[in-house]
Amino acid sequence: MSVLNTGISALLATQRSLSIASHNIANVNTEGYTRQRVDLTTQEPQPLGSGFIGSGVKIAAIQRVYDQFAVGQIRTSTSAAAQADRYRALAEQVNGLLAGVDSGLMKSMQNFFDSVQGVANDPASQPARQVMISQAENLAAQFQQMDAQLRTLRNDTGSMLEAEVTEINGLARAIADVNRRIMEAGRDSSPNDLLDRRDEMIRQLSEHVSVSTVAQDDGSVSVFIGSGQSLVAGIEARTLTTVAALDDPSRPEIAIANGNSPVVITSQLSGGRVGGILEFRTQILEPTQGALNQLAFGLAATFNEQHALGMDMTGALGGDFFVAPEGAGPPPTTAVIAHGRNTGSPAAALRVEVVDAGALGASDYRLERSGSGYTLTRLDDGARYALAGFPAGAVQVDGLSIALDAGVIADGDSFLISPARNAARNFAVAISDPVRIAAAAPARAGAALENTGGATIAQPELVDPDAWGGGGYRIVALDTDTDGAADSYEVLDADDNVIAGGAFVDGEAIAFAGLRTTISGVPHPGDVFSVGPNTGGVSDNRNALALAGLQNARILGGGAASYQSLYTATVGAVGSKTQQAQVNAQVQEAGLGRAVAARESVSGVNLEEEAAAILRLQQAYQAAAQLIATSSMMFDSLIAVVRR
Amino acid sequence: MRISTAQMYQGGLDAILQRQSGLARTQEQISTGKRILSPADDPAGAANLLGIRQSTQAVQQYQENIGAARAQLQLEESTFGAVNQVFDRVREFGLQAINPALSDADRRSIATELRQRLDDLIALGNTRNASGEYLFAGFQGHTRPFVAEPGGGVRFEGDAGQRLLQIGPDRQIAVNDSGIDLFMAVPRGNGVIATLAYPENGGDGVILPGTVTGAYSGEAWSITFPAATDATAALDFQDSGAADDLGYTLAIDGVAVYSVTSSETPAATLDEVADAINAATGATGVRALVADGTLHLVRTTPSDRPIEVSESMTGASDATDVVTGYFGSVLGDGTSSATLTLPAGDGMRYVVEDASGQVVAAGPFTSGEPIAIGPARVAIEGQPRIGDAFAIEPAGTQDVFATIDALADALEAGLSGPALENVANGFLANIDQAMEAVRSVRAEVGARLNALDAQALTNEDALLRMETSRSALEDLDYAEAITRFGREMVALEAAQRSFIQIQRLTLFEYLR
Repeated sequence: MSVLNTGISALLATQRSLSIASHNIANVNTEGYTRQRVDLTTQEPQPLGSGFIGSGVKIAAIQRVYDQFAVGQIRTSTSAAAQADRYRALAEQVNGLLAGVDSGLMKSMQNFFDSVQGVANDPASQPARQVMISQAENLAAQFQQMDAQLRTLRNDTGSMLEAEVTEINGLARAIADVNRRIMEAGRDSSPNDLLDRRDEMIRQLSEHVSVSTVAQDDGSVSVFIGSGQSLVAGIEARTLTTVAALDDPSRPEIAIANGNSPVVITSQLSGGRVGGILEFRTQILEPTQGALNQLAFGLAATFNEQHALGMDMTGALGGDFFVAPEGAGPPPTTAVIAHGRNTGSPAAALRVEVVDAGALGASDYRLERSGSGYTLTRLDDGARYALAGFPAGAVQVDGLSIALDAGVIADGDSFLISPARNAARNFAVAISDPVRIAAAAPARAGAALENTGGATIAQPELVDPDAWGGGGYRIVALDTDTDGAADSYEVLDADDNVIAGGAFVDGEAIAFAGLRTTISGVPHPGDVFSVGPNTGGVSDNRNALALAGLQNARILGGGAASYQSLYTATVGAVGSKTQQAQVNAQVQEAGLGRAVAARESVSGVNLEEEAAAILRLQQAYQAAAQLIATSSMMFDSLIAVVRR
Repeated sequence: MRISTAQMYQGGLDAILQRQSGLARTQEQISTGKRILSPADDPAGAANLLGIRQSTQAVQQYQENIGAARAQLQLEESTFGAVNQVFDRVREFGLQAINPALSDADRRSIATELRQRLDDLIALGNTRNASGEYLFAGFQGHTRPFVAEPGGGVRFEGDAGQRLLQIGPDRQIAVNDSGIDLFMAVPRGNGVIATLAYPENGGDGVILPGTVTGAYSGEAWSITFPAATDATAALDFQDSGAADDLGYTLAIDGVAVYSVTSSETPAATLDEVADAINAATGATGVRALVADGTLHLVRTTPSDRPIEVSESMTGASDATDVVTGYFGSVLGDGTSSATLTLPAGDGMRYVVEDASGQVVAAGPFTSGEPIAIGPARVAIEGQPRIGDAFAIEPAGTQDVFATIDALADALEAGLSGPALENVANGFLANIDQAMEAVRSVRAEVGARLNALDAQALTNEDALLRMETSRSALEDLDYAEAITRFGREMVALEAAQRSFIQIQRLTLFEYLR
């Protein structure tokens, strides 16, 4: 009978092997499937006097062809590639936003300054002035549009983080569930497909955020994210949530459930799409928004400053040309956000004013109290300033004046200061009436026709609008030492009061009443130069020229940047970061490819291999069937002998 | 190495996709003609490109500004042409006016002509540009700058403002000139001093414009041709016989100016005598000057009327009492008096005084010989008569309208001869200055037009240079791109074909 038994064992083993091969073939396209292999072994041999006689074959195990290292490699590579890819995709959006060289902010800015030159060319022309206002409105629209697009991106990153969190939570629950089923199956059984499924889910998790795992003795796997935050332990999964940051409610953060008080773990997360989104937010989005706001703030404030030194067509001093950015002088900015855990009571009222728009940077700041010391940290480069004399008095840093108006700052309290936060969104033109453009300078000068000396007076420029009252003045050359030559001067107001005077020096500045002028040449004693309001000076373009000259002046970023260079630098920075991101994404993709290849070469199904196995098993099956036939024949022969 | 079936598919597919995206990029480059499609393609290049585009547009704006500046300056230039024509015509009238053959009627008709040219000049001064701004009004382009006053003369309502246009990154140029420089602040005379003759002069002395060689700080002088006297600084009372209190009285044109008795101390220097005479100038209209040890007398208003000097004595009781006066009259007989008529006629000596009456120079007069007065040298030609006076003033300025008015006034007043000649000389000097003023503004405008052309060329160069850089940065090398496109297409096709081929090779094909 042993032949029959042996044949049956062979048939059964071959049948099982065939079904595993077909299982492999069936799952050739299943993500995360690990090919399985049947381990055969001989059945217990029967001892006979002459020795052992084999009694057939049996299945020892059905195993996954599995390489733990390759699987770990895939998780790491997947995290890195997913992060690089998401970062690249988001960076490319901003890159594309800045790409339009023929359109966009740069073009609008140039068009605007061209129109300022148009006014300088023909200051009395209403059409030229109207064009300047229209171009200014275009510029404002560009600022607002660009700001809106960046804000949309910022909102998008928030929604993306929420979506990521939802998916991570789903995966975590599913992993915990599979852990449970594996544990139920018992530690010595090998539920291959469940193991595959769990591996695949952990791999999927690594697309969202980088993970690490620890296999437990009970067959479960513990999953950690970030720098060791436990996400799945056995059959327990913890839940992630998005919460508004305590220091800046407009920025969503990721927190992990921890009893009743979720713990923010954003800064500990890296890798995966979450890592890519966070990297994009800090590396590209926030600096770009900061630079745009810095430009909008600086442009509006410095243009207004110069505009205020001019005179419009009605004879009044120039008002605001652009809407004064929030925080440029009174009323103070509202862009101070108290940390949600501040304990100072009554709550501190910080007053932050931009006193020098030219010194303003692109960064936000954090003001902290630690013990009795106050520190201001510039967030983009981490520069720290110890605030001496604060909060007793106001302190000035980077063009900002910070003062404590009321309330108390307790130890450990902190504040986020983003001085230009809404400058681009609120960028707008303040005037609509073309005659309000202050193209002229408010004062003019002339030498009296009766003068006998050959001295000339330069047209005065306004340096202090507050001191200029629009009065008429006379500068008289005097001969105090009576040697016949003029050696000093006096400035008389309309009522003949002497308001200024001094030794006369050819070409040296003479300042009074908020004006500055120079007299060049040699005046004779008694020569008179009149300085007065530029009434009717509609053809004067001095201030328009000065306004046009702002375009290339290095007046922003502490005298290091012009309007244009600030923007170009931003475009260049985003461009090079995007380029890096593209290169990095390719590198990571290739790395992932190699890791996948390594795993596939061990665990992937190869149809040729399976085909060969089928051929092999087919033959084995036929041979085993032949054994049954042989055994039957032997039995028939025996029966025949007996019947006879 | 063992390869799984899925990997084989994926690998083949990846290769195809990768080649496809490369091909699409090249295709986009070819269709746009641009090498840089977004800043990430070449961050430094893209930032550079933004700068170049901005600079290019700025320079194009400068070129537009140059166009505007040129139009404005050419309008000025053509106006100056017309102004010069008027000046030439007016100057001819000035030369004609001194023709002695002219009749009063001729002179009046010249005056009429002059006034018409004056109106032309006002109209030219009020020229407007295409946008209706007055060219020469300074900053007040909507204010008419030259306004004729009802009583004669022209008022300037504009100012000295000059408008500058930006024609290059660091270059601004003025595109207008004030009417002050053109017509109003025209220096008189030679530009430093102005010389003039009093219209009352009786001689035919004609003062020339003169020159200034040293530092001049605006002093004024007068040159007079006084009557020289033989006066000495001695008054001699000779009281013989009974003691008398002899008296002496000096009178000018019958007005007593100085009296003294022998009991008093008489004036002992010519200066004291001159002071006594000058103390009564208000009553006599005669001044005394001491120069070169000689007492001169001159009327305050130039006149060649002789001056009568009378000396008389009083208080003598004896016929032998004698008083010898300062002017040399020997008076006796108790009450005798002597009258000296100072000569009228050719002025042989001149005296120069400053504004406070201090004599600063004196000497014999020679026609045409320059007289040195401080830093100035002034010559008088012809022969002044005694009593004539000339003035030297700081040139100051006089508007060209007043200059023309003055000649027209003189012609209408019927002046002729040397009086008219002196007016005409002043007129010619002033109109020459006016022409010079316009010429210098015109020369400056010409220089500015040249500067515009030079800057336009510079700007063109800059545009070309920037275009070259832009093209090098941004434009696609078509030859390279098309070659690359072909290569990429071949690679894609190869990937696709080999993929299909490999898929056909499977054992299952044979497992039937």
